[in-house]
Amino acid sequence: MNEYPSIEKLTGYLNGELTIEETKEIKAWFNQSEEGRKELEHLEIIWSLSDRLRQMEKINKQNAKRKVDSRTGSPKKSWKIFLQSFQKVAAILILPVLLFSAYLYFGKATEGTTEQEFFATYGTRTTLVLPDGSKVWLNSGSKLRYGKGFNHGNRTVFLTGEAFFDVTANKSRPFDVVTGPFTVRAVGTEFNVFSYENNEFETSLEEGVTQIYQSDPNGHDKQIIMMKPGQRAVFDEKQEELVLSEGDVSRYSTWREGRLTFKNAPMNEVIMKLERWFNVDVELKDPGLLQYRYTAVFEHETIQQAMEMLRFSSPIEYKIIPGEKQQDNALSRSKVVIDIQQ
Amino acid sequence: MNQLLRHRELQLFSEMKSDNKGSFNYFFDYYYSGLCIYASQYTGDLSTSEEVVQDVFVRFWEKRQSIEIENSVRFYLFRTVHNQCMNLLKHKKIENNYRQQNTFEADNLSEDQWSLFNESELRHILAQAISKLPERCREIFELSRFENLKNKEIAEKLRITEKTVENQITKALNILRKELKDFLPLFMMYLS
Repeated sequence: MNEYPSIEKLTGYLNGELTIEETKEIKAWFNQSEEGRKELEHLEIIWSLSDRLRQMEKINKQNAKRKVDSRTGSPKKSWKIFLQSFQKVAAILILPVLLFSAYLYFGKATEGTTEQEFFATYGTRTTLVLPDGSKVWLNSGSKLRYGKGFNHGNRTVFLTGEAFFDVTANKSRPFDVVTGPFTVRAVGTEFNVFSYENNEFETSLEEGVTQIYQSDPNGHDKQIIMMKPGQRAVFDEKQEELVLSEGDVSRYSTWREGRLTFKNAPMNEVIMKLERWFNVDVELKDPGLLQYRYTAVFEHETIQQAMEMLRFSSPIEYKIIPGEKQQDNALSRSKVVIDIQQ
Repeated sequence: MNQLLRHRELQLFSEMKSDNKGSFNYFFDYYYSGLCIYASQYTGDLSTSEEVVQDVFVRFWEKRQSIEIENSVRFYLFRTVHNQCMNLLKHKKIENNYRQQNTFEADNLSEDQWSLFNESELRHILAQAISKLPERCREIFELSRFENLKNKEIAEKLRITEKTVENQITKALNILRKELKDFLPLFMMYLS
């Protein structure tokens, strides 16, 4: 019994699969010295730690969460399933539109293009394909424009609002997205740009590399940042600088799949995005509400459902005032009035 | 547990009191599996434990306005699950069958020992130690411990001899002992 037990015996012991006799042998071997006794103890602990982790991982947390939710009065989600199948149908319907626009722009590109402008009205989102094959998802209330020269030299588009770009790779012809304060330059990448107002700028990079240039009044653009995948840059208006952060950036572009995502987002951001998303005006009765932060994902919800969800997670009351017919017969925007719960 | 997390959790709890369901979800996600394992030391089976822990969470949400927590939310949750288990056992009069010597009470746990009852913290500790293993060694250890494969199956899968598998697991265990040396004594009395 002088040889170290075979690992087979040892794992058998740790798994409790040995006979009493074999178990005794293993114990006796390690108990020959204090050091040995400790070693066996440590092995047992390592073994049970990994067992325990496996046990915890096996517990079906989602299932449990559903049970708890059904008992704590979370909204029923059954309509969501219906809408998910609707989403698939919608995707099939969108495809011909995509192909048609590709045909349209490729066709035009060869003839020397004129200036093109695209607008996604409030409450809608649009997908388009540029002459070079790059895909653009345009979020509600956003405008994208490109000039005649798009197919010659640099590929330049001008953006007001929010868009996600999937750029066709072409090293010799950089792809520039020009916004008020900055220009984002890419070669072949997937990235999101957000700049509705002149001093507003956000970009997040999912794949590849982008460079950010500051637009100089004299027309000399200067590169300030080179971004890596997983990074997000936000312009801090007060400090007048771009702030880089890292993490899961995919949530910043969930809007193009029809999802509106808030992760610990301040109330003012939530309001601004809800207004554009649902094409409504939001009025905040109590400024005290601005201190709240929200985490939520909206997918296919109507404004009523979205407000119900917000009401569920924070002490608010809301009222929706439908839009009215104006003189020209057009409907004015609906209005949502949010107040603190009494 | 670390002070920062403790404070953050107290903050989240006060947000939960003002009806923020997101904060409640955090507590559920972070503690559910660990609390179930903790409860199963008393109840002896996992499905009873899950019921106990779900009850505790339902009440945690419903009674949020009247629950006062000054020190630590984690402690509160474990304490409540513990009491709930005790009630259950008294009720069923099976107390002595399952109250083993090495079940312990939440009060006596030190900071690091909490990690034994938390999925992500335990995973973090193990992953850090396992990441120190050479690649082949780690692969074999993970197949053995987490995929639950027998040495023979690992040998077949990786086309190596069983002897090599055994050597690698021995090597892994030795490295892990060194890497986990700070934790092993702490966990010793709580694992059977």
